[in-house]
Amino acid sequence: MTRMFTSPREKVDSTNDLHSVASGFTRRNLIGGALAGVALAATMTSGAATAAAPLRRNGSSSMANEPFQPVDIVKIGLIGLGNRGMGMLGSWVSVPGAQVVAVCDVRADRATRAADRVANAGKPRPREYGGSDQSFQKMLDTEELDLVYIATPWEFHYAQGKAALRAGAHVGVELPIATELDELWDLVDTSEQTRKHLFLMENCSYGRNELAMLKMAHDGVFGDITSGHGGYLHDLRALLFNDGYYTDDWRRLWHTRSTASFYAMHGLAPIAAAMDINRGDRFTTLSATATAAKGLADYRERFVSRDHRSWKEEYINGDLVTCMISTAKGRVVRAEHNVSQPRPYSRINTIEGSRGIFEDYVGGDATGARIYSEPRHGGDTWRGASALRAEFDHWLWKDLEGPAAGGGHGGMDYILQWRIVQQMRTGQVPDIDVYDSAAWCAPVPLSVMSLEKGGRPVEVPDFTRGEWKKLRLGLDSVRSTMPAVV
Amino acid sequence: MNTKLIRRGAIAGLVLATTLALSAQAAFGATPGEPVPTDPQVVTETPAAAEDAAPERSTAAEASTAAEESTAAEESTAPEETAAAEESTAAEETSGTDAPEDAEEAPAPEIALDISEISLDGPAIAEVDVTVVNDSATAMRSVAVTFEGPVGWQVAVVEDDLGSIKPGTSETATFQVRIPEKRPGFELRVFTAEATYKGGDGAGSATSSRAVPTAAPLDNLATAFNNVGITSESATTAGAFDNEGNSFSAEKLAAAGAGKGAELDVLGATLQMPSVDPGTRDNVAAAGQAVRVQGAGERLVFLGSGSSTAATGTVTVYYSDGTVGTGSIGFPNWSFHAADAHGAQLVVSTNGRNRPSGYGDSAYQYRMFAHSVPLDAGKTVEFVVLPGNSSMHIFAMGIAP
Repeated sequence: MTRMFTSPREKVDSTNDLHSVASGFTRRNLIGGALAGVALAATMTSGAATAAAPLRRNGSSSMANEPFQPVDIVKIGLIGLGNRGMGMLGSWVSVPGAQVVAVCDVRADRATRAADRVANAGKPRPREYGGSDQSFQKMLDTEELDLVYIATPWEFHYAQGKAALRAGAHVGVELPIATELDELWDLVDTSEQTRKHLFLMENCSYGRNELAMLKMAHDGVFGDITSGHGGYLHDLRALLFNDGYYTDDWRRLWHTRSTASFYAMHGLAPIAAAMDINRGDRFTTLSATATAAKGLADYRERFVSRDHRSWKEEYINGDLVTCMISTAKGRVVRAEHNVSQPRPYSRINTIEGSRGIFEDYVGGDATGARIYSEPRHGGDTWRGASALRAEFDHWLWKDLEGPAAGGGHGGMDYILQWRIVQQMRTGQVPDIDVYDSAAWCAPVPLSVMSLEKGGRPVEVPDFTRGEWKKLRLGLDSVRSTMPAVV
Repeated sequence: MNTKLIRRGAIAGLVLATTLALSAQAAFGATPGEPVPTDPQVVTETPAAAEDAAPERSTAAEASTAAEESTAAEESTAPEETAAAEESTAAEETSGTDAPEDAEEAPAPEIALDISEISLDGPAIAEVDVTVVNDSATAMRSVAVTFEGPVGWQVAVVEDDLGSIKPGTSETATFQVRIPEKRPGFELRVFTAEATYKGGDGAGSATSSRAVPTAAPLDNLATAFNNVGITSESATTAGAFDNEGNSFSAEKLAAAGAGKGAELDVLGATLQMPSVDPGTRDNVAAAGQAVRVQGAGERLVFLGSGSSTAATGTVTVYYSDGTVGTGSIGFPNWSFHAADAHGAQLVVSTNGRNRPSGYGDSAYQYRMFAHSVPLDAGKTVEFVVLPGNSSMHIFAMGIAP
């Protein structure tokens, strides 16, 4: 049985007047004016209502290619200090020119521990906010922040991200930025209205293999790119049933109330970058399949005591949810999500074109990747990716390999955080913007919609409202330095 | 050598006689030995075949096409030559005239495309203008322009629908190109524009290309060596002629007169075996490297061998006068393949080969071959771009006078 999920955000965002359901219809769609109404009626008839772009709000304009207003010091407020938030704290403290000025968690003791860590690192002690689910709003109302970093459970991302934009801050949101189509649109619109960036904190976009793959794709190593394959294949069963790891079981509970591909962005985003999605191409349709949901119940049966609260749960999220995404230029992307079955970790990272192929997580050599590219290679024999990765190594890894060493997720976290701070301090255009973020997260609601239709394709909205046709640099960026801290 | 491309340029007239002979000659250095600038750009233009061209043009074109196809068929059935023949056929059609094949006397095309200069300093998003010039006596209508970069490079349209162009005027289309980070080494990045239209000269379409090299060619073949194809029988592990780590035996080659630095008379040229020690890089696994070869003669001769049965490809020859020619070469597999496959000629044959575990397979022959491309008489070669096929191993090359 497929269940609709109504986001708990309604508890924390009293200003939200949108009634959101996974079908993608929103009140805003329906009252968007006569022309929008006509368009919506037409698309409803054709069964493709999801693609209807709402009219841009009055006074708004695109955030594509919009640079940050440069600041000497990036004042940062953190919302959510659980596993991920605390894990990222160290780099926010250490990146040159970043200053953590406020920390917030619904559990006040976490805010205190975070503030202690900052102070113990020799930095000014940040102000603490906590104790209620409105503490984040108090922080936003009180502090003048350049950047808000959000690492709360998924259901809070949208409301907190929107509130941070309205407070005048740029916003980095952990995956996903939102879980419903109308929420994604609202974040796009709010970013355009407030002239502040909101972006997915997609650390995997900064993986060494991923960035080298991107540069190879742009150089033509694989010829004309025709297909890509990414995903998030990570056996999380033990963590999902670990009492306390995911506060209040928030992540496991998503498996009881949604059929979505929750979290494929780690593998999807690098493929999208290599295909220049929103920078010359765009996602057009998505069709989803899902296997039966067996993994979590099987794990519970074998490893969880009968008096555990999880025994009241029914898991409906398929173990393997696969999204087939088509692009305007005729490419195809396969994005997979599987966190509930035993298997080694993989984000897949495969890109293929008319002259070659790159495959990650296959043990090709020390990089874990293998490659085959004409005319460099012959004999239909795989080569380890080391040589080409070195040739196409991204400047961020050449310059930051030392500082990133020992950082979270093999250094990707540090590079992501360093790059955000550097871009904000130097007034650059962000590598990842709200349009990228919305496109990469759209499979969350769209997979639900496609599954409800028996796997039929649903249209992917053009969050750029036509800007996707223009080329923009993005992650394949020009080398630049971090300004010295005065 | 496929001289048709060169002839195409000569016949097509204006562009090759002026643009190419000027800009390309300047670009690659008219004087042998002069360093080639890092960012010279070569432009070629080709008004396309005219479906509704005047009868006399069509007739001439048909005759020319048939002649070229026949010639190509007789020369070779190699895919590269076929492709070249097809390309030249279209070119010959455009030249379709009984005028002498003399660049100076060729008429200027009435419809010309000009691609603006393109910087390869990436990563960047470059804007490229394609200007369509109507020098015909008739207005062009429904003018649409397409633009392509090197394979895999992203191109976006800014403006491609030019509508009408009055006689004696021009209009400009604009495109975006994603320029990747510049890499070391030589590559020729080719950008091509095509305009389709009604009216004008009646040809219906015209094309133009701009070739932008990323760097200067390598000084000689030895600087391009990237593969170990010869090892000593006492130390075989460095060998990498094929994907299994096998290699020629230096001792057996020496016994056959093809030892280190030995001179071989091959197809009229004197070629020298690599003057390097066994177990070091001694050949080029072809991947489109640009290498200086200066001189003039009848043909450019290659000594090599194949690590597959498909060791074929196109050699592009750049002359000091700015003209360009192509030709196909191919080597048989070093063993288990007809010695004359791909039109090659056997040069040296040895018993056995060096395997990672040591010398062996002594019952079998492992061979090197010669192949060549004809050169344009009276022209001086500036540099060549080798085929893009890593199963083709080139040990030496030189010009046969």
